Amino acid sequence: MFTLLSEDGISFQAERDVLERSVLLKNMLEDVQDSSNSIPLPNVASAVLEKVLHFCEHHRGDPLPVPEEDETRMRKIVIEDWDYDFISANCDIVFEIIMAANYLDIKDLLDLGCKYVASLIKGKSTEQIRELFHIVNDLTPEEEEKIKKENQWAEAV
Amino acid sequence: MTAASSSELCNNAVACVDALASKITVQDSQPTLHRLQVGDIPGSSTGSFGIATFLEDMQDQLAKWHEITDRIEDAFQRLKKKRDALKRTVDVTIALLSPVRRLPEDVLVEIFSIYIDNCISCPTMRLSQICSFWRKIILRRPRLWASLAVK
Repeated sequence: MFTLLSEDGISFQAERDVLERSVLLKNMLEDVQDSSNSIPLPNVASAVLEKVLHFCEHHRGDPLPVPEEDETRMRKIVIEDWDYDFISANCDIVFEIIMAANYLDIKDLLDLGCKYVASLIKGKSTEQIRELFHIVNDLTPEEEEKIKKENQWAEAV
Repeated sequence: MTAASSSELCNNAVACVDALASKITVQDSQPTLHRLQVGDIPGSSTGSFGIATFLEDMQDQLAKWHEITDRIEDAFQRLKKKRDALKRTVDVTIALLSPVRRLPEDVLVEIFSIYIDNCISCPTMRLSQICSFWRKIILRRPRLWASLAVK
């Protein structure tokens, strides 16, 4: 068992195969044979780390995702039931989970978070997307003018 | 100005508007309506003169009340404008703290790419119109415009 220390000082224990879902931790564990020392994770809060470990434990033993090099590939939003339940139950900290997955390099969790957020945007208007993410319209008058022309062009096509 | 004094001023303003409303004397229009319904046409010149005098007086009063309500409406619009300015400040501050702003740019681009792959109605254009930061990110990446649908 290895011990992880969250940014707020809470310890979590997990087995090697669970932690190796994270490329960052896998690389760190290769250098650490002695499991008595805690691994500090200064960028991950305990509330988020707990969820991340829950995800990794559920997926322990799954084949690790292979990086796709084709940038032009189409990615459909297909989410397995367990993953959907997991991410939607934690939707209030979905961005924190995504940031932790990005930092720890957990590809399937990062992919899940990105797909979930993309699905939230899908079908929404500009104003609804702003409301969803608490974004204000800070476009400059010049940008607004360009957007107006773009919209006229799009309607004409 | 404290919240308590604003509340007190609000109570006074509402009381003043109610006091103004109580000053409007409204005649019962039912008898006149009945005369219209039964086809009564004021015949004598004395009767018509009485109605015309009454109408003139009412129209003067109505003009005065229009002026009053317009002034109150203007003041109310000024109040709403100040309130909306306050709301804008609150919204901008909330936006500053918004978790989506903390996402690294490459993660945001990944989310955009998935969204674009799953929409058919000008998704890239929509994303580019959300805010300045998103617009700059999208305009820097021609790949995101590759799937632009043309009807």
